Amino acid sequence: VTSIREPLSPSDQLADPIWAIGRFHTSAGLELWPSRASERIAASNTATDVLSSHGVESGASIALVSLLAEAVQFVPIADAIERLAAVPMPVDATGRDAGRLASFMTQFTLAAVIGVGGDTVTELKGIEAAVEHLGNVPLVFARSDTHQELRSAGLNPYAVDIVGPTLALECCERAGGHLLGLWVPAAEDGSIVLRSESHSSVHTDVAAEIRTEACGCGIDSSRLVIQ
Amino acid sequence: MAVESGSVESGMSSALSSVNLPPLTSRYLEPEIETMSRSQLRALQEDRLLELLPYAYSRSALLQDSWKTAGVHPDDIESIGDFEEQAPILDKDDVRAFRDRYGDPFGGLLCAGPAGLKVLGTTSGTTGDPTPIPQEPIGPLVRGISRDLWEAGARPGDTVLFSMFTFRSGHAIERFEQIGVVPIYLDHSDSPGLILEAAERFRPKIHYVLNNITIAAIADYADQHGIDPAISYGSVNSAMFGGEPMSERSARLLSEWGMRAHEMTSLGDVTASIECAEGAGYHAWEDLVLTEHLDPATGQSAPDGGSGELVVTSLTERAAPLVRYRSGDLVKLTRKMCACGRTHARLKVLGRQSDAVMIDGRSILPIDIWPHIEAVPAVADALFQVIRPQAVCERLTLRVGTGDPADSSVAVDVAESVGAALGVPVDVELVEREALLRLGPPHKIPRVAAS
Repeated sequence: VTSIREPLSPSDQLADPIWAIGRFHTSAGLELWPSRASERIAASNTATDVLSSHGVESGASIALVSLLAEAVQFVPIADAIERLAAVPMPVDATGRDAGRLASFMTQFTLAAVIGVGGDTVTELKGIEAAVEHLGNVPLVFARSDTHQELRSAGLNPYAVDIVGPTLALECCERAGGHLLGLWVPAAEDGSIVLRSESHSSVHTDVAAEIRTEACGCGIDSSRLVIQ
Repeated sequence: MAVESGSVESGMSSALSSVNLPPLTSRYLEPEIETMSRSQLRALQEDRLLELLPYAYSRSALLQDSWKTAGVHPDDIESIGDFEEQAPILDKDDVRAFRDRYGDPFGGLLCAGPAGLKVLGTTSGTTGDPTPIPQEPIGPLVRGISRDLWEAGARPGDTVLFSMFTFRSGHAIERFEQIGVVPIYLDHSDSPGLILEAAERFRPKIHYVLNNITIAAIADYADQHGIDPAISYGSVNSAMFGGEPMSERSARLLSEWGMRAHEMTSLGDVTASIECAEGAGYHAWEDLVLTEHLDPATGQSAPDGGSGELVVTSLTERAAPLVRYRSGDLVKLTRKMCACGRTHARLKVLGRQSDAVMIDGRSILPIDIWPHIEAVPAVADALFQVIRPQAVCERLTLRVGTGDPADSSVAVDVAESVGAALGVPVDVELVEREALLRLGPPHKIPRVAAS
């Protein structure tokens, strides 16, 4: 255990406070991650731009499928939804909560579902017509573990994936997920390493192709195509 | 349907503003509210109620429908007494029926448009379809829990272990931001090892929320790995406990780990109700929620300290305020001042009215059965359901989760333990633990099943 209180020292908290401690997977296991306010704001800015590229409108109902422990990655999406005056409708990203998403899809006119993954889709298949309902949602952002399955069902989802302490979220161009925030990715030993002004290197367990050429949407963050 | 447009009137927002933090040594986050005299509190409630009723009546289709049916109008209500005498009572079935009749997913409750909503959460769905709980940015849930976290010892700059789920309020960052604490987000599915690692690294003051299932998992993990949770949890003084009644085993383990347990429950889907350090009942924040407890048989107000069904009215919520909403929870409720100095009502949850099974003229709730299953070592984590095909049964039938359902001696032990304690005949069906855990939400399982 290293320097337990250091991340939350008062002077540090005043300069750029830690707003939450989340976690992400690495090849060595789960990494706990204290996230700073500047990281949240930067990620929210990119997320707002990406959702705007899809034409998300004020008043839209958006199902946000995530785990509580994915707060560091998904709160910036909720921030972006709020900035766009849309309304997030949270669903746990566990198979056992898939029925909630099915219920939302039948009762509400959802503008988007963001974050649906393999556990949820596996359970949705057991719920009559639920996957077909997903096909009626104009915008579906799916995690890479279920992309192929949804395509086989005739859907064409956009990508959303956790990459260490942030997300890669695909814009309307379908040219890879924009990395949220101020992270610069590099491929090292087959997986993505993230760097920023504050962090020399954050190793993830994500294998991806990095795209740095200009995107047609005008957002200038790096993009990742998850492999 | 999409969320319809509308607005939260600016004049209504005074009760929704953020809190001014008191001195760090203050026991109370909002002392002027938490300790106000009963007469002041009653006057505040009445002001808020009389402001709420015309607002909600003019916007909530369900409220208008039920009040018209009852022949009551907000103009008829001039006091809390008038309200308790005349206002019709609603329950979750009324909301669901309205939803199904009119195709309105909000069940006729929504009063605000997107600008007034922070998140559209839903109930757990333990007792049926999840029902929407539209929430405003700093609503009663945020305000109530902020006070409770403060009472449990959280102060600006502290960390709090936060393990729950997202469906109720999303990631719920606002309740922590209100008092400047930093949540450590964990899932119920996270390994006990990660929970203990997070506690060691970031030295939280509180673990919010723990439940019987997670406590049992931590205890098992600690046994298997030779870890003392009291050391890993060394900084944690308080545990918020929710989802289900706390079992005797959980209470003992939390005490051994050096934590003061603060049991909590939902206050009729409006906010939370949490014990203070005195452990003398859950505080119901009556400036935010008008609480009644009614004798289920007569519908009349039960005496102070007596048992009744909790009925709530959300006084400050403007997104979708519940008005005289029957919670289904049987509680004992008192308005006597707590030893902590707070003047708001306190309650003890006895169980859900719909969970009782009548055997030989006796009403038995899951909480009555709990300790007698825990007493059997092989099923000490008390994963069980009461099988109740109808409200009145000749025998008590239990489905109990175990690691080895083939070991019929466990069924015999459970039947003897429960039967001897309650004096009723008991049948026991053993199933795999996982089969019951899958029935979640993760912090609890349905304790009563029809089959």
